[in-house]
Amino acid sequence: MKKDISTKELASLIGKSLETAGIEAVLVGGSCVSIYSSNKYQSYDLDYITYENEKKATDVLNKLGFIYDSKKYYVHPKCPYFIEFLAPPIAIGNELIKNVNTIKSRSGVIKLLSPTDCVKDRLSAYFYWNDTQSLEQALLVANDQKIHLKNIEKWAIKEDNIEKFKIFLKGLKS
Amino acid sequence: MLERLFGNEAIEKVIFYLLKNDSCFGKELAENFDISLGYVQRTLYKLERANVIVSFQVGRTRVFKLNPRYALIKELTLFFEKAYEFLPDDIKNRYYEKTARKRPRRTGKKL
Repeated sequence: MKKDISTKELASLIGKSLETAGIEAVLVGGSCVSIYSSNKYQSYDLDYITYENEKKATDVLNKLGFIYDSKKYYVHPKCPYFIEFLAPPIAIGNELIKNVNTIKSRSGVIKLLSPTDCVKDRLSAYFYWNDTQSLEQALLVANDQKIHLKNIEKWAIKEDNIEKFKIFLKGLKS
Repeated sequence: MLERLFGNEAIEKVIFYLLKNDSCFGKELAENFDISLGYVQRTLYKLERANVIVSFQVGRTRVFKLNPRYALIKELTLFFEKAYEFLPDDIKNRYYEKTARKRPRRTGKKL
């Protein structure tokens, strides 16, 4: 594995290996922001959610050279990224995610949150933890990708956070 | 009360405690319930891995809270709130609803 592998290349490689092994896993979290923002934000955490037994995924990652380091991450001696499997379900707050995005490339395939759900995921962290870094990440994705703003607004109302949603709106490029 | 369901007596203690006290740290729980710190930490770690709780570093202490972003947090809270009602009052008062001072006290002020 090359040392300067990008988030997208690595996610494609892992996605392809998981798919070959019959494991459906969805990429969530900060690495989706990296992919959708063309690395304007760089995450070294690749967080996956799968409904399969994690042990099956462990075998796949071991074959790629990633070893479980007992601190809940899989690490690779020649690669700066950490892989983690989060507990299902795939949800943002109590909204279940049924449709995920698929990106295909020469190196493989990535199943990940849609740009709209990625923005919601980041905004959720901003709403609950007041984390302005998450707001910045939501804006990076929203300004680079086609998103469903009305859908996000409805969700923000349900989350009782319309005031913070308005702050997000102000950061959008017109 | 729920240890047979969860296979671990500390899980209900942690969640009941967080429902009534907002946040906690390992040593605080170990002392409160007179159980080993290692056991408490393993339970906190297990709940964090399950996404039910989250942690923050505050100074040198790792502080834990219920995760408001957990998909089933409303349902889980309802379940534990109902289960809490079944606890005897002396258990509630001894472990979960202590009347310790929680409002601020200015630095250096005598008790």
